[in-house]
Amino acid sequence: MNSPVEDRLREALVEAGATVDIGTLRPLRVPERRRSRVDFRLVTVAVAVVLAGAATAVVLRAGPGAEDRAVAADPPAQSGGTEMTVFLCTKSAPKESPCQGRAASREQVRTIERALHQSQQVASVLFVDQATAYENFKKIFAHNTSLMEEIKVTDLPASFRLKTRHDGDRRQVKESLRGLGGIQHVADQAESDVRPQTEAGRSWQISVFLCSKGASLPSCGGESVTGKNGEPVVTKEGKGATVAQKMAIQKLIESMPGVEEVLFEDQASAFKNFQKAFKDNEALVKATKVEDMPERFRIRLTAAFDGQGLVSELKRQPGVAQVLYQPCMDDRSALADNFGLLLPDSKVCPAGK
Amino acid sequence: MASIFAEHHVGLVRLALIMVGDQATAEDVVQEAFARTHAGRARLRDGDKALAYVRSAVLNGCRSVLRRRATVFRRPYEPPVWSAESAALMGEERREVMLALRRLPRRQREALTLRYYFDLPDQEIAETMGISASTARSTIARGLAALGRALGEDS
Repeated sequence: MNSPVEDRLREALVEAGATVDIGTLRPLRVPERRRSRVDFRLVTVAVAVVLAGAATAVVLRAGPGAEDRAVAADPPAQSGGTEMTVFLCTKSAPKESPCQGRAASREQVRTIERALHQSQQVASVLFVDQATAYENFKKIFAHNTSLMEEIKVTDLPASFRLKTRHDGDRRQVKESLRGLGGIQHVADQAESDVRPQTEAGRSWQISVFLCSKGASLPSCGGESVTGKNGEPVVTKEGKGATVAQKMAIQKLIESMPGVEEVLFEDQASAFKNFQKAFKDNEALVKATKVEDMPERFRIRLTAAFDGQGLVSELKRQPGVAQVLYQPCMDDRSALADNFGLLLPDSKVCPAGK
Repeated sequence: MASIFAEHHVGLVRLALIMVGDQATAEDVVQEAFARTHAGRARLRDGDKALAYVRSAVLNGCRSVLRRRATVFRRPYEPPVWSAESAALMGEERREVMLALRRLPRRQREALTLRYYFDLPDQEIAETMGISASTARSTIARGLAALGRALGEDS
């Protein structure tokens, strides 16, 4: 016994619902917040969506390797080619910074802006406030849940992004800012770009460095203290990894899930790679000997596999000096370059999630 | 949980569309609900409960959208499919009903949609909306009466 109102409502709802255009329906994207093997299948689907040419937001979330992330690490604000970034003070800025626990006041920000506009060396200035920085941050680190939880919008410093003139002198820009309050630090893109670029290194996510003779790292049994000039002084030399240890490590890696390929890099090939990576720095290459190079295993993971668990297990193995995890390092440098935050690994990518 | 979304994706978008009025926002709401429930998927083993859970997540998302819109238009306003601007999509008669539905209180609007679009029984409507079955029943009755009055019918 349907009343006319019921019928009319039913028909109207059906018609309203039918206006959904199934053809343009965007497929659901799997959030990459918790990675597990169940997710893995779904992530592959999401990657297929990326290949099909979906929105860039999808790329940011579903990018399986470091490469996508590296592209994404440039926030929109930077697409114009920022060359210098003036990070302003936040309350939570580290104690070593000149901020002294105070955020930059409005007056200070205005003074800095005026100084920048007056500078002959600066071609353009763009102000990025905390909210915008946070938006960018969320996009870039969507894959890193623990970091998203750790960083609040107020932790991200607001910044001025500068482009200098062609013949502009960067030192003069820094000079003109000297003595102004409210500045946490000034980052120079040209300086951070000298970071070595290992072309092939991108596809290897984990590097397991082995102990070499005389290593000072506690993981190798060595000990060191910080000397007067801030240089580490070895007080007890550690032992190099034994052949048995190396074999055990290799066996362990080969038995681990998610490992696609393992490569052992001996001192000679490590030295070759080192020369390539630092070919612009002749003095450094000349001062380094083949014997200084640590041996390492390089591990390639299957796509979208979270290697965090492997990293913490490998760190515990005897004979292992250090384990580096590329996605984690990418996150760290993206965080430093774009947001002026220097955080330890334990915060950027805590182990044992 | 993922399979529920795959199976009911279109249906969920329709539900959201009826609530918020435009497809783009509706899709966003469903995507958001998917992302959220995805995190807790391990906790839900019961298939029937899961669908109700997902539906209520979508409804919640719609409420947030409407609340946000009521205060300030963050994004360019997209006219609802049943507005005069999109007359091409729906007949005049239907549009009138949708406009009347839209003016009802939130609970009545939701209950009526779940009943007359998805044909859900009282119990499922109650689970989706987080109210009791009897409240769902009376909300539907009151909503229907209000709708009749708004449309000038005497049933």
